[in-house]
Amino acid sequence: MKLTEIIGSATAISPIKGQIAYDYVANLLSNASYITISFDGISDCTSAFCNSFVGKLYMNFDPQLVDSLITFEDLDFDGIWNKKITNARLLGTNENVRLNRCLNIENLILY
Amino acid sequence: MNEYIVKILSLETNQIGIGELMNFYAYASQFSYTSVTLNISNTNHVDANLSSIILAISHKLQKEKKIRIFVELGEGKGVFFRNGLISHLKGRSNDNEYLDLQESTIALTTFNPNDDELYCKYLRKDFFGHRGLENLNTQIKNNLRTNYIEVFNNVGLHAESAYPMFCCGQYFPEKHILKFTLVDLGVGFLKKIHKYTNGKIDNDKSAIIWATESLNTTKDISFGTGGTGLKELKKFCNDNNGSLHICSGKGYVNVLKDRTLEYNLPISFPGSIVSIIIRNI
Repeated sequence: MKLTEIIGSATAISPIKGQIAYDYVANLLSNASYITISFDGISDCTSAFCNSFVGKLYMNFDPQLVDSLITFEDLDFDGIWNKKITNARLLGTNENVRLNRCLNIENLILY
Repeated sequence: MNEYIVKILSLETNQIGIGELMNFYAYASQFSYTSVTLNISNTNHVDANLSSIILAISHKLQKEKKIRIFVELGEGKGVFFRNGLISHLKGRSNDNEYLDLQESTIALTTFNPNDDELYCKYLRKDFFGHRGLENLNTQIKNNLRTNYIEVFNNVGLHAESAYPMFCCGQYFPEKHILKFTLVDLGVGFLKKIHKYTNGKIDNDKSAIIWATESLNTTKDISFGTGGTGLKELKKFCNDNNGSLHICSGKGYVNVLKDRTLEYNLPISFPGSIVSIIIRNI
């Protein structure tokens, strides 16, 4: 499945779009379906998008289940997006990070 | 209608030039329903990237005080036509009325939070596609572009502002320098960092520095944020002899390769300013 079709855009930037992707994939994960998400056609991708999409998947589902059912492909060759996805996975699976995040309800303005 | 004129002597990307613009803002904001002219005819050197600050001030004064801003340029200041500032101040967006034949400007442009696709296109074409950066390594450019997208994202999420974000750049081919300034009219750094650190961070300069330290990060229960843009911009400057100038409230911090300079501005800026100076290009 192409990410551009899921989020209706070539820019994977805002966490709102990340939430759209999360909702779509979470629904499939609930049915234990295999999913391949293609980043083909995506021009830009941010940490906020990946955290909202990938991080939440790992936070709300068994990480081993997510690993076994989801594949990301056609990531940028510079490795930047792969790093963001890896970081999002780390955030979603790390109890300490999740706990620390939950200690602060308010968003912070950090560029 | 009365007309007021403020003459400034410096328009450079440092604490003095930005301090002058803050003084101008403070002076103009004491009025309403009038016009105020910013006279820059006596400045020897101008950093036209600071047009983003002038336009941000103009937007705020126009909306909140019904004050119209004019700029008296004097001779040799055609760059402000070419980068679109004059068009913007006339109430038009940059309509390319004046062509930038020197290709020295990165057009003054405003972006609302939902303009993400336009902003990405601007970064790709106008900023990182600029001739001034043609010798910069592609991977470095991609990294920088991604960091500027993170910045945009976080402004939209956290600045709590009804105003757009303002961007402008200037290339100095003789000096092999490019300067780019991004402005938002949001809540700035201190408010939320002060709250997050339980009052430990209690001034603008400390808040800016805290935000650029690598161990500090955004925290959001909804997994919505996580931008690392500023820290990565700082790292780029460290690695490439660039400099990062950040202003918020009364704080002004200049991050250089091996040191960080801190200043207090005379007037509090109602938002945040992030300028980068890329050298040796």
